[in-house]
Amino acid sequence: MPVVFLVPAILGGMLALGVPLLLHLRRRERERPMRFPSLMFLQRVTISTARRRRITDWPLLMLRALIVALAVLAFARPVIRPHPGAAPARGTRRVVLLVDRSMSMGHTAVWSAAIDSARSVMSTLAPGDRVAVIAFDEDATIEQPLTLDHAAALAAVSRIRPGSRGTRFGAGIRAARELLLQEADVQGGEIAMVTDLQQGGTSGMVGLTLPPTVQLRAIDVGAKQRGNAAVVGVDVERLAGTADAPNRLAVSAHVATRGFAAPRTVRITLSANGRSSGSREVTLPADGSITAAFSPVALPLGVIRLVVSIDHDSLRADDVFHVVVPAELVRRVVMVVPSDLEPDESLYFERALSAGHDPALRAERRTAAGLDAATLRDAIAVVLYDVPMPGGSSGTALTAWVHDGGGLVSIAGRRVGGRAGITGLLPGVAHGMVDRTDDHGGVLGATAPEHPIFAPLGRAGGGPLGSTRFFRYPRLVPTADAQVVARFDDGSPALLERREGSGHVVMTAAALDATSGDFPLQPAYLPFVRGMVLYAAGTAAAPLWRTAGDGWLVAPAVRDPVVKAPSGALLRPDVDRGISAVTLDEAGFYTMYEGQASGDPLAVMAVNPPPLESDLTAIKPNELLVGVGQDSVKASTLTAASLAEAERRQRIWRTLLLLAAAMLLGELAMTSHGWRGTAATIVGTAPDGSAP
Amino acid sequence: MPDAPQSFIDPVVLGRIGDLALLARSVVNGFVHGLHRSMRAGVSVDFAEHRPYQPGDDLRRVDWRVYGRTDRFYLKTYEADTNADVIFALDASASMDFGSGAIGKFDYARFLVASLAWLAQRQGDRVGLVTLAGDLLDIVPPSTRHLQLLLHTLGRVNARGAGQIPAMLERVAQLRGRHGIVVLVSDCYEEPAVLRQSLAGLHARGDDAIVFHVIDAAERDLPWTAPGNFEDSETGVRMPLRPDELRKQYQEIFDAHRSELARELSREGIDYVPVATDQPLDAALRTFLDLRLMGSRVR
Repeated sequence: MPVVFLVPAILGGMLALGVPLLLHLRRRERERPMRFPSLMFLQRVTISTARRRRITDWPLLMLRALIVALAVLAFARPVIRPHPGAAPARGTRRVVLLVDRSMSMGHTAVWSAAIDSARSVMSTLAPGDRVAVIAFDEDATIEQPLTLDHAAALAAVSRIRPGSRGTRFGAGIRAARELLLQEADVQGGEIAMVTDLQQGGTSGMVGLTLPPTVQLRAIDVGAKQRGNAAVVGVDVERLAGTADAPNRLAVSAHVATRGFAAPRTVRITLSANGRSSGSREVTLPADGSITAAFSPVALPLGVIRLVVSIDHDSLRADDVFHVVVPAELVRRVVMVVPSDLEPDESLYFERALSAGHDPALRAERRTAAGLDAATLRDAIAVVLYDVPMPGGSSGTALTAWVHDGGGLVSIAGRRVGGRAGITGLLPGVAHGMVDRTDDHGGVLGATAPEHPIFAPLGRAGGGPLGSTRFFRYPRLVPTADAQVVARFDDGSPALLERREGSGHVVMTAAALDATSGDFPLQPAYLPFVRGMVLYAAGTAAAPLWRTAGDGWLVAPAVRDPVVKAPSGALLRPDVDRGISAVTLDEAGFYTMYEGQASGDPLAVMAVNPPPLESDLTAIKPNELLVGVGQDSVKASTLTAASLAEAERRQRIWRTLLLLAAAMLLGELAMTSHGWRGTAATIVGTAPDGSAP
Repeated sequence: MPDAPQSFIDPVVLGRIGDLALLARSVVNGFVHGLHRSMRAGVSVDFAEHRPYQPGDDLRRVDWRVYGRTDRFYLKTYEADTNADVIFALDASASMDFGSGAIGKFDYARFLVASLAWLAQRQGDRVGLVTLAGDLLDIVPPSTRHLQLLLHTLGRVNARGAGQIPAMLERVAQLRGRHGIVVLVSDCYEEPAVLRQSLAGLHARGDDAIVFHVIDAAERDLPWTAPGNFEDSETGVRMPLRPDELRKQYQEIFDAHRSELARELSREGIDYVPVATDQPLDAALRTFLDLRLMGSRVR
């Protein structure tokens, strides 16, 4: 019966066989010397140097080398493979052919080699062998279950095409393992993986195990020249126009290169809505990234589809980058102000709201009495600017609107703090004012930097707020269901929130005018104000693109959605069965329609390959095999007989270890008895055994 | 010549005696007493001759009877034990720090020097010592009062460094003031011709010389069987060797060295006495006394 090793990499430990040899050659030099009065006469004895340095104890050397060899063999986990003639009744071999269909396989030198390799694996199958075909990228698809029909398997291989998604070896191997384990009464199998062995595909391999009877073989079809350039990102900024010039769009692209031998010059091109909008030559580094900025282009109306491309190299799929710039919509924010509002009191707040894009916000002033369902219909948020929760019909309309998903922001100032208001929807109630003018003002502390309101402030979270001084603010007491997001340094809540039905209510005691603090003068003011209102409104900026493999959620209001893929394929998510998202498998522009795929789309989404997939750095096949362990848990699903059989096949390593241990004892006995034993104590010892 | 009690001569017994003075006195008292007399005039009861008075002579020694008869000053001189210089040259090189039996070579050599010095002192000789251990030179000038100093020096000297017998004998030559005996105690890891030349200079000036070659049984027989890394005590040089295969050649070379030493030294009339550390001291003492009686009668 042939013997295979579960961890063949350990066989490299055979190099340790040289250790006993070196020890035997060097031991005498390092051995504690025996002091002798003078070597004057011994040096006159005719002996050659070679004779002195020769290996003097061949039996001991061979024994030690044998111990090392046995230990290495044992740890390499030898397993006796069943003889081909002793195969189970159903079929002889079971082979699962895994074909990598990730974006990187679209390399001009790779895909044809991959198909050839897959066919080569198929050609080795005997008529009784069963074969399955699985295509994988980040997910795995069984193209052909285990079958004796090799022609069907070949046809399945021919259907596979490289896509736009990333690589995850673990997905393919797991699918193959499940396929093999479905037949509990049949053991053994072979997984042949045709892949370019991209380094980025090893994520998710942790904990992946295979039954000991399943052999995994990686067939590397990666290109020898792995240099690649890719557009990995695009920055877009709307530039406000003037009276004479329209609004413009500034676009800059990030291009990364990996593995080139020398810098290269390429042309990078920008097109907007299918029209060429810019082109320039850039010199790409051999290994690194650059940012190429295009001249601003006039901002078209509606949704803008941007395509940035560079000259094609061997891997074309990542040379084109798609971006969708949504049409700029102005969102209404209803601002309920007190009747005694001074003219400039809310100036900073309103300017902060109106600054920025995606989305743009427009504040509309109303009094508490002017709130009704019609006023609130198109608004995304209501701001109670230092006014208490309105009562009466206005309060009822506001409560219903928030309950249905509206966002309410309460800015508590001196008016709210001066009197006990009605709590209503608000997450806190004011109990008087705090005056911090004597101690140079209070600061915000104990904030939760991970909170979405602070996300626009950068990684420091609420850190930038630490330099802001608040001289007067109302002391808020949170309600039972409120969550304190931020506090002043005296412990008083500064930012509270609570949910009301589908809506959000946010209340802040931080002074947003310039009379009670210096917050409007701080850089954090604008992102804080916009972030707070948008958070309460539940509105987030739409991404300019998504990565292949992501899902695209269909808005609940869309009935009978139809999504057209870049390839032209139509996808119809079955909303009635709860499937409200489509998987974005292809790179390009996905368009969503209602009813039928014609007319103006409801939404457009750009999809690009994952940037990691553009890195063609490969691992060695052995590294992939080392990452896959032996399955000890899954073996429990096997029958008792198969367990015993598996145990019997792996019994060799125990025998080898026991043999090595026995030899170790023998070596100990050899070295501690006879002249070898005295050799160890010869140092400073007289011939009669007494110390000199 | 009566033999000494064996218990005071056996090196194993001597090894248990820490005090060199006690050791030497025990050995010598047990070995011999008053076996020889010096012919040198000195302080004694045995009249030797008259000699004319010289200014500075002790007036108490003037023979007033002769003055009465001759009207001249004559001094009476007496036969006394000689006070010849006996200078011990002890090889304190690292090679001496070796032993396979109860007593190492260096300890044996110290016992030997101490005993010989005690014996010489009893004879009225002036005893001195020169040791050279590495770069550390210890000199005890010859004197009748330096026995204790000699024993003290013997007690504290340690064997180390390379052997420098010619240099040591050169210092001995500088020390000698009168006719005397030079006793070299060494393991003689030196070319016989070089040793002869070094001692020949002393012998030519009228000194008697005696060489005690201290030999350990292991360095003579090379009895080991296991392969080992042999290190030269003096130079630190190491040689991986298999003693089994070398023993015969080694013993032949060692015996040839001893024979050549005996031949070369006898050419200059120098006594060569090989002493093994497992042998009693009496043979060495007897040889010394024979030489002392027969060849060193000085006036």
